Amino acid sequence: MIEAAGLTKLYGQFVAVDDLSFVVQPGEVMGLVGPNGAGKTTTLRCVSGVIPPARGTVRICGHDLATAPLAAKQELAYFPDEPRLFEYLSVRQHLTFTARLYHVRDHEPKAKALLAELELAEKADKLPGELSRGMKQKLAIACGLLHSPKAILFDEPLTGLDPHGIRQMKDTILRLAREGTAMVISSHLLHLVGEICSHILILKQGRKVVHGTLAEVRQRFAETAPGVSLEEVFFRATASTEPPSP
Amino acid sequence: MIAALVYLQVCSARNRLLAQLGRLRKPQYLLGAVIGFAYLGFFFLRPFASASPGTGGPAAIPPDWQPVAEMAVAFAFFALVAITWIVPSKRATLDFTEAEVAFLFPAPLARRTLIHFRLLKTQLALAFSALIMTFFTWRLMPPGGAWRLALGWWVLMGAMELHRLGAGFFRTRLLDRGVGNWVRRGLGLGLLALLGLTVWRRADAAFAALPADALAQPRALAEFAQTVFGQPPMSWVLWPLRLLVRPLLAPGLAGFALALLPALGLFALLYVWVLVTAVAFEETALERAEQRSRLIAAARAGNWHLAGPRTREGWAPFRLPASGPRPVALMWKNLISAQSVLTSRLGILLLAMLVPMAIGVGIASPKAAGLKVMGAMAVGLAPMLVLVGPDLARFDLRQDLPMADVIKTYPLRGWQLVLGEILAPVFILTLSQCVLVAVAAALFPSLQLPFGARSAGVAPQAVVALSAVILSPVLNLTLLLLHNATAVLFPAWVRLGPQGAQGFEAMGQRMLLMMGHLLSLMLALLPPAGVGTVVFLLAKFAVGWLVALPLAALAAALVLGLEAGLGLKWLGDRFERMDITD
Repeated sequence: MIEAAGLTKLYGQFVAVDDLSFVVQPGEVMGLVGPNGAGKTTTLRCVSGVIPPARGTVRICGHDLATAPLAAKQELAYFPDEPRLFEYLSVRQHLTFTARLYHVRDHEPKAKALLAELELAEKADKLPGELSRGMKQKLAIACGLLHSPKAILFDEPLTGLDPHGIRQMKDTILRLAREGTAMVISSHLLHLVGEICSHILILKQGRKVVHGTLAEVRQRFAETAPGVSLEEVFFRATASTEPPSP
Repeated sequence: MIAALVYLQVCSARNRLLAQLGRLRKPQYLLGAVIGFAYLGFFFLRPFASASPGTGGPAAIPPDWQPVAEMAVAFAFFALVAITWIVPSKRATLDFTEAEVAFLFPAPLARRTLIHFRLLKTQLALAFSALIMTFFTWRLMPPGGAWRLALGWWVLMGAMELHRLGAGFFRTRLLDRGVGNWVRRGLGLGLLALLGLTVWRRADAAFAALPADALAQPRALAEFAQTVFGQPPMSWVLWPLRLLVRPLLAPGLAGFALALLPALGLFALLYVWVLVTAVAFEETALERAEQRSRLIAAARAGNWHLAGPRTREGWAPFRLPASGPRPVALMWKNLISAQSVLTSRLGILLLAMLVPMAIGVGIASPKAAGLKVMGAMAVGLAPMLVLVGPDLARFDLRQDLPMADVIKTYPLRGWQLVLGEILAPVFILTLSQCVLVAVAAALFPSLQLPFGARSAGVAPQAVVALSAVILSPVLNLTLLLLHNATAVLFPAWVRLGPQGAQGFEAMGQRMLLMMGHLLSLMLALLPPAGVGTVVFLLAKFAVGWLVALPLAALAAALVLGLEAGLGLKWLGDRFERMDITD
């Protein structure tokens, strides 16, 4: 479970994230959407512990990120928009390294299965510099999934993937959700959100303007225009000066 | 069309300058800039300020020697010319950035326009190189303004660059017409051999006629040079190069002007040659641009060693089980990273240098005096490695800081992350120092015991070596903590990137950092030095010098280790609170 309460992030006088609260239960996938500069990446970075929030609390599977960071991080995986890999470690060495960091027992069969699932088995001895952008993304995902996180944060997970990779990534996300993982996915791709997310949170200028299940949100906006699409919801929500009540 | 390219250059230069000036609003950059400018003003611009007409450099070449100097410099450049024709194997290319390739190559620009653009850029860069060469050579040159010298260098280097380009184009044309690299090389080497034979025969004859004190007689030496290099065919080969070198050595303004005109004429001929021989370079330029881009990206991340091509993974230094202290994983990772610098090729190179040297010294000094000199060298190198090593062994947080958004998600405390990151360089430096200390202990002349102490069968140098080995790891730990603390507290001062590390302020910052590290180290060493001294004096009185020294080293190491531990905790807390978006 991922819980954020009153999350606020300031850069000097600029409010990047303003009093944001949400809960993602096990098995739920929350799409975090908003225009450029709305605070999506900042939110993910605060929730993952990469940057400290100015105010508010974050709890991962009940562990407060501020007071019990190790227990919280042990249950968490965060995938930035660009895969961040060590240029000098091979694919296999990345997994060995990650296994030690997270104390993953019997990691070898698990790593092997992940490499096979993500079609990286033949690249096990390659360095990141020898992999395509999509392969690097897959390696980052294999490392993130090795310790079976219960909470996952994705920042633009489909960037750089080919159609086959996109399908594979969607399947992986849905499988993880079925297995009870709580996920937040930041994306500009509204059709992806519509396909794989159970919930949606729309941010505008750091503030939550819409939050709820996809059905609830559609229902809320359908009162003025029946059969409204997610894209229409997004434009209306981010265009209005006064956010509709959640 | 060329106006657009000039616009690109002018705007880029102006914006770069404005960005650098904008950074000066921050005090750390302003301070760095002041120190950087002061340094440059004092050392670099001095020749331009002091070398007024009529005053030469302090070590100016005497007029008698100038023909010899002209011949020697021309001969050196002839070697470069020969290399340009014989060594390269690839097709000709021009250097463009990736952005230039993306914008200019698909644009409706003639190839000749692209060459002009590239030549213009190169000449601007060469102007800067000419200033640097002036800085290094103004002391050797005859009386005259440093600006004339700079202009002379610019013409010479510009002409050499044009020749390099023209030769590249010409080689490519040969390749396209079926004349392979080895045919060209064979021809070139054959011509060189013929030339060398002629020169050798002349030199052999002229050498016999040289007086015994020829080095003290410039005229005799000039005649020798004239006999050997001043007659055909060598004189034909050197003639254009001597034309280019002459402005550097010409005395007085009139002499300079007279020497400059033929050099400029040659420059113009080379320019025409480049345009006439130009071949397709776009494909190789694209490849080069991508390669450069990778290099810049690696350098901006502080990883120069990763910029080169890598085709194989590093070997794991030990098996890393999934259980056990987590910081060891970071050490394991960084030991693999270190292999990109500490390659087996480097090891073979060092051995190839050291083993023959040791054998040679051993043969030349039967009484092993030479080996003792090598021991003394090891004694000197070990402390040097303490000071310089942390700057070189950057397999730590400095390398991984650009990935802070990933590292901070690891389930480790801040101090554990910092410790894990610096363990690899601590290990590598300590191991290297221990080897040097062992070599020194084995080869250094026996120490005379101070205070009339007796050795009691223990070699004194072994005791000193043991004490050094005890201190080595904590010293390395402390220094690496200081370097990593700088990276965490002032990332823009340490990391190469768009926000830092270039310009005068970056130079000043580096000097400030160096002084800061030394000062911090001295302060950190005060308590352990005090404790060590007290322990040494007490122990010497009780158990003697041989036991007192390692005991004192141990006490000092414990105190320094305690300091390092506190520093580690503090730095870890700072890293945890560090906002990577600041």
